[in-house]
Amino acid sequence: MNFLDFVVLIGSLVAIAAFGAWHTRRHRNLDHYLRGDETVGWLTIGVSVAATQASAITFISTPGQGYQDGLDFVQNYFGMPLALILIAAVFLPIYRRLNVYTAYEYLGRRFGMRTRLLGAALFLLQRGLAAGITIYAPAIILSTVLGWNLGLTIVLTGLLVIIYTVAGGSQAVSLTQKWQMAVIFGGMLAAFAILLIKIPASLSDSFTIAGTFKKLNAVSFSLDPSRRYTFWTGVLGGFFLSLSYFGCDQSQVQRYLSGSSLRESRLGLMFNAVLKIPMQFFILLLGVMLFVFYQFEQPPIFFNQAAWRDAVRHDPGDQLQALELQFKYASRQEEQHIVQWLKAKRAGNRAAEASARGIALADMSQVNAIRTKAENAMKKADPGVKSNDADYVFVTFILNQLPHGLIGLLIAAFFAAALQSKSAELNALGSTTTVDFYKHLLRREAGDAHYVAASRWFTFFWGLVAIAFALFANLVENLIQAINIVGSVFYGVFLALFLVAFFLKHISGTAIFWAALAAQILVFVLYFFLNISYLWYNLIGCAACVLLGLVIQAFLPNTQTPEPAP
Amino acid sequence: MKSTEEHAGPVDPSGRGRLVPAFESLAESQNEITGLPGLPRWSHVYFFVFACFVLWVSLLLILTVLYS
Repeated sequence: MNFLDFVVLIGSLVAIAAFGAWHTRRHRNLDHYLRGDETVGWLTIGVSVAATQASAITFISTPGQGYQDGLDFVQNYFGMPLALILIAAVFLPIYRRLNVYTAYEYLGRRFGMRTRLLGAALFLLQRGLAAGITIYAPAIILSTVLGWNLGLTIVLTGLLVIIYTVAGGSQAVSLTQKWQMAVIFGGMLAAFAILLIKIPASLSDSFTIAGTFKKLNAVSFSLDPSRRYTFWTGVLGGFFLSLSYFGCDQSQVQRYLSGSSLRESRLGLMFNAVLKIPMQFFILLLGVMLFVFYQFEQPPIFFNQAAWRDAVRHDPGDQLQALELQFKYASRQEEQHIVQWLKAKRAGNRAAEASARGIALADMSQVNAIRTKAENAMKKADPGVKSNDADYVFVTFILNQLPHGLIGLLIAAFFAAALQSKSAELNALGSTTTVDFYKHLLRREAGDAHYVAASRWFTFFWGLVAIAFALFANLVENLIQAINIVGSVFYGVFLALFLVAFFLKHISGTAIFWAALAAQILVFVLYFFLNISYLWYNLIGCAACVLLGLVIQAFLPNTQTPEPAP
Repeated sequence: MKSTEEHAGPVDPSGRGRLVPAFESLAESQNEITGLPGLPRWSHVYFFVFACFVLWVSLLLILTVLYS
């Protein structure tokens, strides 16, 4: 990165944060601070909902996922449009008419205080963990690649987001998210365009190469339960994950409750229901095209070059350097055979085409075998090293292939993505702590100014917790998967609380409280002992909680006392 | 599936009945005008979104079949 890149990076991030903080600095009451006076239109809600979900992980890690495994991750989002329809039709009108600040207030009115606090506590635990990951994820990658100090990157990113979220509340979050999304999509589209220009093959040939190497397998109807992404895990597991995330997670509920009317909130959700699958497809396709690009350009043997150099230093026998030479030779051979294959294809020589394609596939197997050997040797040389380098693919391309200025814009886009999801999470964590715990348990009768101040302090507190978590985080999984795994472990039970509240009126607060605790323990146990796609835990947790609720209710007299309506 | 919110009436002290304040039914909120050209009711909007979902999945399936 040069001076121009730093000007673009710092200029765009600070300008957006200052804009958000300045425009929303005056908050008269709690309603304005937590819901922005419900004045937001559908497009802002739609962008805000998308921005809250799309963290930096989405834009850094998803192209790497596409590079490594192709398009199959897109199936993860198949349940989302269906879930959003249900939320728009059922959840949203109820939340709006009850005029709640948090989704958990509804649980209190339906089941009583204990279940409200359980729901809010599950949210704080799950979202507090995820908030740490969303700040850690871009920082670890960018600091590694750019040579920045990791701790300093985490602290500075965290402080920037804390400042404008604490100052401006919910409205600042929505306002800044719109501009941050503009920076992100501007950068991503520019990177995609340059990538396509740089690939020395037509779009049709690029698709043929990607398809031959099994990178375009977007839909699978496999019934293998250990396979992570299939049509079934996507539609069923993804449906429950999305229903829980968008319907019950305060970081999302707070986004669409800020709408000026039910219509605006619904349209904001439908905007996401239509556009999420193509958006994820586009980001994964970017990764697939990166794969095609690196068939013509020498890729590094390990995209996390800082980790590779460290491992080489710790390798006394020079085995890693020998493997790197083998890798370079095998990659060059593969490139030559791909060029021959495309020439034969264009000439219409079927026999030569089939032969060259077969050789290229064999070359790819050899390249992959050398990479696997190198990863194992790296682990041997340095047991602490992460062998998954998919998260570094896109950043490596940006730094090595894009012109200056655009590099700054893309790095700004990653930080903007980190800030936008982080701000919504902090805003929701602060709101839930204030409304469901502080206002409810500690100070029931205080003025609005007091609650706004409390909310600001809790937002600040959660910001510090996230920074502290990020400073001590150490992840093994690909980052986009890590955040979904954390969600899936908690979300099933979380969702069941709301589904029972909405649809099973005879189940009491006592029954659902104990059912939720038992189901959550069951999910934890299964997670450590079963080898199934994590998306299934959404379904398992939800089903277990509902069934246990029904069973416990059958043995209990119903004596619950719901909270009075305000 | 019917939401518990659709059952109007006062709070039942036994806790078995309706537990939240009365408000108009969900069905009524579905009948609100959307203001969208060609999609006057919310059920039309949901159908449109579902059709888009089917279209995306179909296109992805075609892509998978064409290049596998």
